[in-house]
Amino acid sequence: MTEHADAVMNVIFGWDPVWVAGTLFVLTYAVIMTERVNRAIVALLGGMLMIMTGVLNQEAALRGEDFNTLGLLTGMMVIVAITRRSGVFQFVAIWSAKKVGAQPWGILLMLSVVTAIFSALLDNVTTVLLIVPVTLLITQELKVTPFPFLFTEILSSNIGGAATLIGDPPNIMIGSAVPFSFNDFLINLAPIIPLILLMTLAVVWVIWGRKMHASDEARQNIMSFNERNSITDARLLKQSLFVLTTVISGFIFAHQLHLEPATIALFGAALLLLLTNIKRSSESQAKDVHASFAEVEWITIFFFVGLFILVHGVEQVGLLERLANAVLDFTGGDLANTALMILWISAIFSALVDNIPFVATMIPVIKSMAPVFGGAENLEPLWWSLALGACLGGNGSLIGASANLIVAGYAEQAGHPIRFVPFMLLAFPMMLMSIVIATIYIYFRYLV
Amino acid sequence: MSAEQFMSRDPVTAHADERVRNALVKMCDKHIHNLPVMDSDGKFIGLFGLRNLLRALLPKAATISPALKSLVFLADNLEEVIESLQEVADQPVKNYLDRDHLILCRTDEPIMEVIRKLYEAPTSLPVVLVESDGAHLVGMISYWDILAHISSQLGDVDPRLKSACVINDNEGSDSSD
Repeated sequence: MTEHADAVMNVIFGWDPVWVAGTLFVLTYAVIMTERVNRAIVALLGGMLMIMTGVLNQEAALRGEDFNTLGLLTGMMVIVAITRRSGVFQFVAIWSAKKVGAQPWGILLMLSVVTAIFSALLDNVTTVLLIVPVTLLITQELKVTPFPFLFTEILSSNIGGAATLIGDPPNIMIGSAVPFSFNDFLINLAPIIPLILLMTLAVVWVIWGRKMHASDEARQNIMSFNERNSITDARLLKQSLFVLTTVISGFIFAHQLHLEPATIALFGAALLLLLTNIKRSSESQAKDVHASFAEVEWITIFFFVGLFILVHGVEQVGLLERLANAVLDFTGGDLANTALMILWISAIFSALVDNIPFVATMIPVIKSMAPVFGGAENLEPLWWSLALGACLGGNGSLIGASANLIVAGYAEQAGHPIRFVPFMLLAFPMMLMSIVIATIYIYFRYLV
Repeated sequence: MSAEQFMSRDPVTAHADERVRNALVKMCDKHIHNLPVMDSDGKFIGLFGLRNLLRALLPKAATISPALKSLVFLADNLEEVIESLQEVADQPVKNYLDRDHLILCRTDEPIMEVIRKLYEAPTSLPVVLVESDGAHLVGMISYWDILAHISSQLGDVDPRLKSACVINDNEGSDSSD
């Protein structure tokens, strides 16, 4: 697609398209930030108004949609929705708690590592949905306060999610737009993640870990859990693990297979649906397929659908190019300065607002910097800065990432609410620490 | 044929600050599954039922949403349940009301709507009179009240069915669920 080819510029009342697109974009983002109206509603309205005001026509708007991101997210959500019914995630959580003799600090460590690994392979929201209920059960049995556990799981999910292409929506979007492969993410981002997780856990140990204690009786309760019983459907477990392994192998070999991640994920979803439904009556199939689709987080999907149109609109009228030029003016067109600026601004922004719209906006901005840095292949440090900043920045506050809010919602229901300010007072400095580590990593790996 | 005509009047109630222990005695005494709970001004604020009690005995992780789907991996630990029950027994009933999912019935609702509501929510239906200052409890309707009422209208059409349905008629209150 050629640059700005989609600008229709047939804007109502003959208004200036730059102003109309810019105003729509800023207004939509402002309303999203207030969190007064569900973000999917706001983004869809904003996207449709971009068409109705004539900035884009419908065809052009559809070219703005990143179907690779949408398909990958939807496919993985369906696979996980089916897999979780087998009880495998509960099994892993309980198994890991028992491995450390049900010592509270050991459990916190294990659950955090499990959260990070799951978050790298599945999306963060799904991971915390699976881990948090088990965590609440274990902490209630241990008679210890769940806050340190939930706090660390939030941080671990965002840290783990940063490691892979499929771990966190910002990475999915970057991987789809650039395009980077699954392995590119593994090679470039995953190496620094264990260190960041380790440092985070060290801080948690200093704050809570060293003082954690549970009675022998309470620990005995945990040790008496029979994790094997939580596997409720062994056949489903085998089918799910087979499909998950196939899909992840597919991501790893996607380049050789000439396949995009969305195709692999949606194929996996369809295959798992086929395996679990093949011998059922048509009525029961319809019910099961409907239930599996219903577990897709449609709010996130439609949020993306609206956002992609909005961003495409401001891109096509040339606004994002101007923004990119402003950034380059500020950094003097120096690659190191630009990369580190993107890292830090992404982190601060993502802590305070949703990182998805931020990344959606930054992708075309970074793309348009290619001529300045001598071609798209030289932009790599900028992409990894954006990915690390946006994913890790989500840890800065309770509203920084969807997973954070999901955990807070759970904690509230269980009678242990997580408050915005106390969370931020601890999490924001820890997020900054992770960005300092990322800065050193990016600098020494890509910029010297 | 409206709700007012087949509800049980003057139901046994509990005060919001009444201990669960006390409420349980009343419920066992009268063989009822749900007690309407009133505040100090005599206003109806919700139902305390055996289902609420069960919920209080469960670990929190099993009652939040989305919850743990199964607790089959837990050891068979009766002492823990007893401990929880004793803890709950000394709490006021108001701590366990299910205020969000309360389904009410108005005095003038037709029988088919009452049956639909009982089918939707497996509990007894509080019947309220809606006035300008809020809803006042005037009675309760259980599955048995419905059956008793229908059977009383059967006449000599089907005597066996009629006698089958009046078993609890003399209790005059909720013993369903």
